[in-house]
Amino acid sequence: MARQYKLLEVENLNTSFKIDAGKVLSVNGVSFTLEKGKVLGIVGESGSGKSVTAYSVMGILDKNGKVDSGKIIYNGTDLLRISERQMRDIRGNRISIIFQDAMTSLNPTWTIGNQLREAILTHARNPVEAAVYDIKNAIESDEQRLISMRKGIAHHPDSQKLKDDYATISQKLIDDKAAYEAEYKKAVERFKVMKKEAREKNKAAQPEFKAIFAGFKNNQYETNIPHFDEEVVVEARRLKANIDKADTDLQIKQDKYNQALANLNDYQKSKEAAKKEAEKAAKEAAKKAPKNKKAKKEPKKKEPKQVDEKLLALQNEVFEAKDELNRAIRATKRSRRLFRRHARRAKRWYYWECISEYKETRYSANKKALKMLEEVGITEPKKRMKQHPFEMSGGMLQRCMIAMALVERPDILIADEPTTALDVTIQAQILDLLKKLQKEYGMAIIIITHDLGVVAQICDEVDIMYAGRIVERGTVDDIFYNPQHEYTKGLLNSMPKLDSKGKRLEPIQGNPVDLFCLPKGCAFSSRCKECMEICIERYPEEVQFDENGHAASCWKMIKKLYEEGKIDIVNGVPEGKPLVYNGAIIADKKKERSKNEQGK
Amino acid sequence: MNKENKEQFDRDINRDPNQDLSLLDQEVKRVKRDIKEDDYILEVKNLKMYFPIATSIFKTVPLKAVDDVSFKIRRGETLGLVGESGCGKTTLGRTILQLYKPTSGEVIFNGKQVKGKAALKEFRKKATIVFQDPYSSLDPRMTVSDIISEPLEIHKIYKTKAEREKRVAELMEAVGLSKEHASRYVHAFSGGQRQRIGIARALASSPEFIMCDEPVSALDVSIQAQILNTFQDLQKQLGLTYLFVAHNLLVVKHISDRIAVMYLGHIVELANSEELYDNPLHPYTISLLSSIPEPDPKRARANKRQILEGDIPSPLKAPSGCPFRTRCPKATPECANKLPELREISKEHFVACRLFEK
Repeated sequence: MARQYKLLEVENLNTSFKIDAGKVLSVNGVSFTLEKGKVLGIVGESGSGKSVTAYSVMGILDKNGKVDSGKIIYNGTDLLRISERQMRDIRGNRISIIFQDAMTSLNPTWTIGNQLREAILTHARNPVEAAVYDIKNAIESDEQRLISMRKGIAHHPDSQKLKDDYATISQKLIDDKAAYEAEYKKAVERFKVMKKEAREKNKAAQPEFKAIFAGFKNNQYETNIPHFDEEVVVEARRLKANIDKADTDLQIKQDKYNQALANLNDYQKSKEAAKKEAEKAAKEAAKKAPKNKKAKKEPKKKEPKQVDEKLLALQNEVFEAKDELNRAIRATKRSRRLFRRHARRAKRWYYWECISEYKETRYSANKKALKMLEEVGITEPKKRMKQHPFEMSGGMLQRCMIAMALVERPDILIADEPTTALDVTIQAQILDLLKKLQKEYGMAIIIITHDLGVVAQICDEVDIMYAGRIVERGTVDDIFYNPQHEYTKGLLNSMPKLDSKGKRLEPIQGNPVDLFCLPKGCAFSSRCKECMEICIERYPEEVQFDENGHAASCWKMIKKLYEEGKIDIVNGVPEGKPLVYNGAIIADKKKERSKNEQGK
Repeated sequence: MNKENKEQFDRDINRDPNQDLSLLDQEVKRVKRDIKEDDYILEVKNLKMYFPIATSIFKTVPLKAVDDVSFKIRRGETLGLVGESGCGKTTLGRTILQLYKPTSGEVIFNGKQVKGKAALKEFRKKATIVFQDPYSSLDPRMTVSDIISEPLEIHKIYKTKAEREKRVAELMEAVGLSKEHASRYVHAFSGGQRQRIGIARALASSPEFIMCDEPVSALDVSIQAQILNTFQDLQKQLGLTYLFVAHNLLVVKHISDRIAVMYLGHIVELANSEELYDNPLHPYTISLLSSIPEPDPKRARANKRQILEGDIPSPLKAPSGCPFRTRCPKATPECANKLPELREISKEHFVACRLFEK
């Protein structure tokens, strides 16, 4: 298998942490490469330095952590040598990371939408910046090189080569600066044109909007709002229907009120008529009746006031009808208000949509975020955008974090124990999602985990780490079906399998080593069943078994390969130099071997 | 490397890899496990555990963490209890041990119902617990010896201190700790060793039944295997019965004789572990098993997984009828009507699903 395009190369990375008691070597000379579109698994127990490796790549180590030496080369640039500003453009943009615990990694006081928008807007650049970005970086690195060369020249004033180099680079710097200015001017021109175009586009739609707004005064609500998104019109139609409904409702309520009022009037009239008649009758009766003085003197008895229940009921009806009528009037006003608001918003959206061709705005970021949430399989993304992290479940949050990491379509996604805190069913969902997105976007993934089950599901290649070093690396099949290092074998034997019932597990004895006092030789030697004398004395160099890249650092393997004659050892064991890889010194093999034998 | 480390290092290298458990292995050869069909050590009948949750000042709603669960455990077997987080498996275990006062239902231990103070004290002596988190379940201000001998003091098992100390040393040897460490405090031990201390404490009062509440989920893979082996060896040696709660299905399969699957406070399937993995019947069990991340890439590639959609619903808003119907691929409208009972479909295979009720 030929090595393809290398996306990320980590070479001899050393990371340490300073603590009160001294220095802890967390990562101890780790090297690996990541190819485009591959999934690399880094496996190890807690404290093996797998997360620290990832954090070193991202440049997000704690304050007391430091990369002591090594190279992290992404797309030809060494991430350890670039400035923080340049790193910011890569971090979260070209290389993203998702963390184990989504609950604590997301900001609890911000909505999901806010956090997604932040991720987009942080990396948004206007076209002028984007056009001159590469040249600007080149100038920066040139300047840095010149500074370091000046020091070199100060130390070696006689070196002609240094001086020549200095001259060429300063010339290059001048050229670059000239190119930068030219490019900058061009970009500004381009930017102006784009701006103008967008403005004109927006202007062209203005009369239509004006007509719609003018219609409001004459109670006309047109739904043909100029738009880029069908949803605007759909919403307008809905609001229009709302208005119509409110209007018919109002008509009904008006009729009802009128009816109630009429009923009341009729009743009152009839009552008054009855009363008048009764009075008339009483008067007539009084005229006819003989006058009785006694009766006149009697004090009038207060009659209990008669309640006219029918009148009350009718009055009540009128009040209720009036109430409903008022409500209906308010509803019509409200429906109109909503429509007007929608139209105003649509105008603003139109403007933002025009602008978004050359500029990232909150509006366009919102759209991107919504699309991304849909892609990671979140239902009702519009609702979720407005929710806070505590309102969502762990699996949902992990999806949100994946959305946040992938929204800029990175080349590399680092997943630091992405499923450890999740249930099995949710873990299966998330792994499936990662697999699907990886295929869709063609990105490379580094999965950091202690669970070999997860590795088997998703990875193409695996690196096994122990005490800050990679002890074995290879394809997933190599590692699972043909493990070579004792630690890898031990890990595989420690995992219960579906058919391991009744059998005893064969765990690795003892505990992981303390990184604070690493042994001189192989760090695993104290737990290894087949530990030899040399294992304690010297650290084994990595040897490769085949052209697929299956390699391990183990003296047992070195011994085996040496006996098979596949590799050679210079100056003998254990005093000599490191081992030589496949093929490199094969020509001198016999000679060397005879020398070794003499030495022994 | 300083001198002390060097010595430790030499000791580690020269150590016999099986030394930790050599004592146990000798015992294991002598005792054989045999489980009798109808010798039940523990019986749980219609156990319910509801927690009152205040939704407003005036209103409390019961959170049905365990809802009408019945099963039996045979003497000497391991019953695995699996389910997603929030399904009530830990609550069930704790309610059985009477760490929570059950809302209703009975726990019958060795033929006697656990009721009343005296019975409870006897029960606590014979049924103990190993907790999930070895970091928070051990008192940092007590020495290992204090921790392990506390149950002995409470149950007044030995009269003199010397006897207790002898017992502590025995226990420490049995779980693979060196007895010289008895006077140390817990902070000096790693996670795996702490869990061993927790196991020794659980073993102190010579229990017959141990509830293991996710005892290995906080540990590294290699340490996890060591602890699992210790559990198995102790079971063979002492004839213990385990209720093994875990969410790692591979671990449960490895250690259990029978497995119960829980969902939202109900047991949905209960069967022998082989039977359950070979022939799962309940749709939830099927999808749970198919989502196991197996450490086998070839099988992983071939495995067409049936992945459940969505999350487990909140127990406060549990769906009517079958609790699983909202996520079930085979759900029909009828599932909403009635809660399916746990029925014996074939020998020793219980399922609670409407599909198998005919």
